[in-house]
Amino acid sequence: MIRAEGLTYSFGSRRAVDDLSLSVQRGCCFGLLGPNGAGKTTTIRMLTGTLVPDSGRVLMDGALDPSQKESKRLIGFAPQALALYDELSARENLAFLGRFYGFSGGALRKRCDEVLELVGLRERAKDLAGSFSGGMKRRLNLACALVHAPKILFLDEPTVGVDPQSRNRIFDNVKDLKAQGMTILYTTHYMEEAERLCDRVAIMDQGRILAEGSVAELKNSYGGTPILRIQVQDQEEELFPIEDPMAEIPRLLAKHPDLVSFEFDRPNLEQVFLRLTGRKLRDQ
Amino acid sequence: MIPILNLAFKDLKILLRDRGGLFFVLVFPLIYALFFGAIFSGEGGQSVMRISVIDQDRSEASQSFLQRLEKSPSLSLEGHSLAEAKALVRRGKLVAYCVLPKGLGESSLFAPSKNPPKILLGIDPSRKAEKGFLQGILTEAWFAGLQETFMNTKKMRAEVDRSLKQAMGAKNLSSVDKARLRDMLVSIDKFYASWEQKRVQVKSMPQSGTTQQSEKPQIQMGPEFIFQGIGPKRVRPASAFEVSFPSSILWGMIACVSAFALSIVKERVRGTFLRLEVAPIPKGSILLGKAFACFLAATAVCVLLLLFASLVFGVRMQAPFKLLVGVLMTAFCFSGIMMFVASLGKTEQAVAGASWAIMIVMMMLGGGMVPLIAMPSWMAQLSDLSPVKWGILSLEGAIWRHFSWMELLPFLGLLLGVGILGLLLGTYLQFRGRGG
Repeated sequence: MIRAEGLTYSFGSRRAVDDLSLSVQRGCCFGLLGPNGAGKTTTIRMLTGTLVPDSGRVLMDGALDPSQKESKRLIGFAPQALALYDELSARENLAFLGRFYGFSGGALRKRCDEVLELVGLRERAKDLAGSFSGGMKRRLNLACALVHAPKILFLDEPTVGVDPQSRNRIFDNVKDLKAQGMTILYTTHYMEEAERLCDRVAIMDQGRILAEGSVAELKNSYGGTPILRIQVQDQEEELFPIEDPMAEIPRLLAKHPDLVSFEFDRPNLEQVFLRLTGRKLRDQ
Repeated sequence: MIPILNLAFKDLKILLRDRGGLFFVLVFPLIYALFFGAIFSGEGGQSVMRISVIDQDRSEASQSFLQRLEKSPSLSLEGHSLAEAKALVRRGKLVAYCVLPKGLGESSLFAPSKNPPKILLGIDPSRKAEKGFLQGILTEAWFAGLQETFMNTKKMRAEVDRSLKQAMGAKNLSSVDKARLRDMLVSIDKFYASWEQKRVQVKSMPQSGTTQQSEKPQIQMGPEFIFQGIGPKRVRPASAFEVSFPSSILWGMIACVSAFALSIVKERVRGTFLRLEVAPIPKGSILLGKAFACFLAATAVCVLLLLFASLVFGVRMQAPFKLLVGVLMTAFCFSGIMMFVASLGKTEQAVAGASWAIMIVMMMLGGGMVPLIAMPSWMAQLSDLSPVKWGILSLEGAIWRHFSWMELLPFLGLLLGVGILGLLLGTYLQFRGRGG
């Protein structure tokens, strides 16, 4: 559905994206995971056709250039900034955007109601966007990207600055959209989100994709061995790398009858990133 | 076209909900028009000069001089003591004071005097324009008195008699000069005596036809000034509001420029511009939508202010079609300028600063602050460069200046040209570096 080949973009002398290639299959939720400044937003802007790459190309739905009108109809985009008109109501924001996609009259009203219902803002449809909380604005930002029922959805850090309730709502929305067969490209620097939502994840840093695969593949390839932590009475905590934790439990209990507690540290994407870059995902 | 309309109506809706923006676009220009219209309202928009006259002579001549001054529509006479008058002039409460000295009425027309009486005029030296204007009014009043004397045979003969006595008694005149002066005065007296005799004869003749008119000899002392209006009809504004409203409309236009230039940069900062770039509309139409919204808002401001001016203050729309073209061209020009201004910065602060700096200079030079007629010559020349002046003249040309199409055309052409240039340059600068 989305194919990028050798994308490169520089802001002056600083190279933001460096020879990036990726491919997203139809109906897949693809995560771009990386710290702030990794080049995720620049990549998304090239994929949506709002930034022309210095080199490389992007193809949508097989052959379409993203700057073409036909491919733009396929795309829904929720930018990282809250791209809303505070002086307009939630419904007016949606209606304004919907008209660009050919909606009008009753069809437009119906579609606005549907997306407002989806993000849980139907009751606040007539309220000005400026009066919304940060979480509600995030949900409206998502609704604006969905008003024309796109086939491909680009979500650029959609949960930044959001309360847990709105975050969960957004997660549910993404899952629903994925279930409906929508292709989603999701950028984040929260590994939990990528693990929870994405079928495939590309780990990105300094404008390059360092590794790509399903979450399990990435963990297996770069996460290292699971660690067993055991606490025996009157002894210091011990760490053991183990391949198969379930097989290890009986042997562990037999060996340490005075075992107080044990814990498995399974590899996560944070560890994958740490292994790939030598740095942590956040705290950059 | 539909995307442009969609964008424009969205921006107009936002403008209507922004009370601050609406104040500067519509209310402030209205206040400006009312304020300056009220200040300059009156005969031809000129204010009356308050002066104090201290009559130290209290003669028939000084009283009649005062009466003539009182008739002047440009003066308002007040009575004060000399000290009070000086203090009031110093404080700027009075424009000037005028002292009619003792002996003013006794000075003779023909007898030379070493110390002729002097009329003293006290005025703030910085009031150069008023000084010249006042000098003209006082001189006119004085010479009107002289003319009256010359036309009155009794007064003139008495004046000749008084002058003759003064001349004969003067110590500073030689006997030869005295003889010459006596001959001249006697000749004048004979002339007026014969004139008086003719008038008596005419009076005693039976009245018929035009003889009544010949009672007063048709004599004109000095040149007669005839003021002729230039143009097919009256070319002065009927009221100060015909001047203040076109200027106020231009204030509304620059407020539109500022509001919409800021809205473009706000869209960039908020990210809504990015969202619009993803929509299936030509990129140019995003900016054209802004320009169109600015054009509609500027046109609406013009129409509303002109309607108000017409309905409430009777401002005349002498050439409605020319006015419509002037309004549209001015609104177009400022929409183009808005597009250029929006490209001058990347933050709201930068664009707000740039827009007000440019607009204020344009207004200052173009007659939005200092009326065009009150500008010094160097400034008047510079004002030719300001689109504000072109806008004001294209509106005034249709309201009260009676401009022909040929006279309007240069201004309309300049407005159109600057509008197109601003649109092209602004669009180019804004898309440059945004990745096409």
